[in-house]
Amino acid sequence: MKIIGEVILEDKDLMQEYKELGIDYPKFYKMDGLSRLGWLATEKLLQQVGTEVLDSERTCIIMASKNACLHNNRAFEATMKDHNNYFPSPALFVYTVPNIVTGEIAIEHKLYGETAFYELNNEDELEPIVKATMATGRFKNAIVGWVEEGSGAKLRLVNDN
Amino acid sequence: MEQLEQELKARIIEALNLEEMTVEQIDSDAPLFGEGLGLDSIDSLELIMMLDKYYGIKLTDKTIAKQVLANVRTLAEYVNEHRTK
Repeated sequence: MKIIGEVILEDKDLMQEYKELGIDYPKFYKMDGLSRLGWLATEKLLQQVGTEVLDSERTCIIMASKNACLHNNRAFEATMKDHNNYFPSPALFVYTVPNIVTGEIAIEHKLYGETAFYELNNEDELEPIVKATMATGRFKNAIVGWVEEGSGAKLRLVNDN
Repeated sequence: MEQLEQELKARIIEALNLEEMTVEQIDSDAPLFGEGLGLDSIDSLELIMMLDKYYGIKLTDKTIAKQVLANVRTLAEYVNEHRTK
C-alpha cells in the first residue's frame, strides 16, 4: 500500500476548524462529536490530496477507535433515564452507532466502496484489517485511520500500489 | 404570540443543535423543512418530542403534524391553542 496523504487532527476547537475549511455543510452542526472529528479530518485529508485521486466505485472507508461513539451514547442514555420525563432524543439516537461517520463521508463524496468502523484496543490492530481489505483487490483507494473522540484523528489515504 | 414564537425559535435551536444560529435569523414564515432551515425527517421527530416535553402536546396525526411544522408561526399558533403545560 502506498500512502497518498495523511492528516492528524486534534479534537479541539472543531467549530473553528470547520469554519476555516470554508465548506458549507449544515449537517456538521447536527453531528455527534465522533462524526464531527472523522468528517473534518476526512475533509482536510481530501483538501490535501484532491478528490480527483479517488475512484468513487473503488474507494472504501475504514475507521476505528477504542471508545467509538460512547460520548453520544451516554448523552442519549441520559434522555431516557428519568421515567417521569422520558424523551429519548431522535437526533442523538441517529449517532448511537459509530459507522454513521463513515456513511456520512461516503454519501457526501459519493464513494460507493464499503465502509466500516471498528472498535479496537489500539491503532496497531487496524493495520491488518486495512491490509486484508486491500488484499481483496476490490479497492483502489482507502480512507483509513484512527478517530478517537476527545483525543483526535489520524487519517490516511492509501492506494493499492 | 410573538413571545411564544421567539421561545419556540430558541427551543428549535437548542433541540436541533443549530449552533451559530440565532433567534433573529429564523424567519417566522420561512418553511422549516426543505428550503428555509433545511430540516430533515429526524429533525421533525425531534420537534415532535420537543412539543411533548415542553408543551404537553402529542402530535400523532401525520397530516396535522405537517401543517403544524410548516413554519414557526403555524407552530406557535398550534402550541398556543393546544398546550397543556
